[in-house]
Amino acid sequence: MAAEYAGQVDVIAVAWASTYDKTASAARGFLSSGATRWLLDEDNSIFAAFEVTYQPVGVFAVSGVEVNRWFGSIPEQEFRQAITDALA
Amino acid sequence: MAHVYIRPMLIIPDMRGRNRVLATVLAAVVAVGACGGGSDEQATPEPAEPATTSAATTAATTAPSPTISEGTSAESPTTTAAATAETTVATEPAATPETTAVTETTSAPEPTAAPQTTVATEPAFVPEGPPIPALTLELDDGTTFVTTEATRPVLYLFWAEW
Repeated sequence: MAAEYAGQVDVIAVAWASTYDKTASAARGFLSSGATRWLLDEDNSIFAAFEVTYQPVGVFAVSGVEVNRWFGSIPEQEFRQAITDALA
Repeated sequence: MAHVYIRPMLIIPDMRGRNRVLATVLAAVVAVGACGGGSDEQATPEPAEPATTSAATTAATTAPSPTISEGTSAESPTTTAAATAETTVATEPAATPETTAVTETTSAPEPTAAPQTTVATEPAFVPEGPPIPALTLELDDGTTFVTTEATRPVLYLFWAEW
């Protein structure tokens, strides 16, 4: 889906503290489309800043404002609807 | 005119008495014949021309004085009237552009108001919610992403490799 909305939505994957090699290996399988950029949150400061205490969590932001947040797996239909509303 | 022809005869000094009277009568007859028998055709034009000339001269002489005096006073009213006419004419066209300008001015704000309404409508779509934290993220591709400077909607996925 990241590839589908490329150019319209930026997808940033923030990985929980781990080794870089393991995270990169997982990213190649998990984010295979290449449309999602990722980073390793080595000290978990990014998780803390977003007040995310567990994973997976999705935070959808528009114009610097958090408009939606999903915990656990994200329902595709709900996710598409959120993007459609944001791009309208 | 007859008098003109008669007078030379009377001046002749040699004529006297009966001859003088005959000469005078002859001169009168010649004079009358030379004048065309005293018809109205010649008599009328001769006095008429000087009369006309004198009348014209009189009129011309008399006219200038009153003409100047009247003309001076008449020019002012004429000029005033002309000025009034010009003013009237100038006023009439001036009123027309003003009306046109008002019409244009009235129609002009309408398109201007439309974009303003559109612009005013767009901010209504500004999402509500808590602001995301201002962070600078060093991404795997070597780029830097500033959360507060995003120009497009952003989906942050928090995950772990395990």
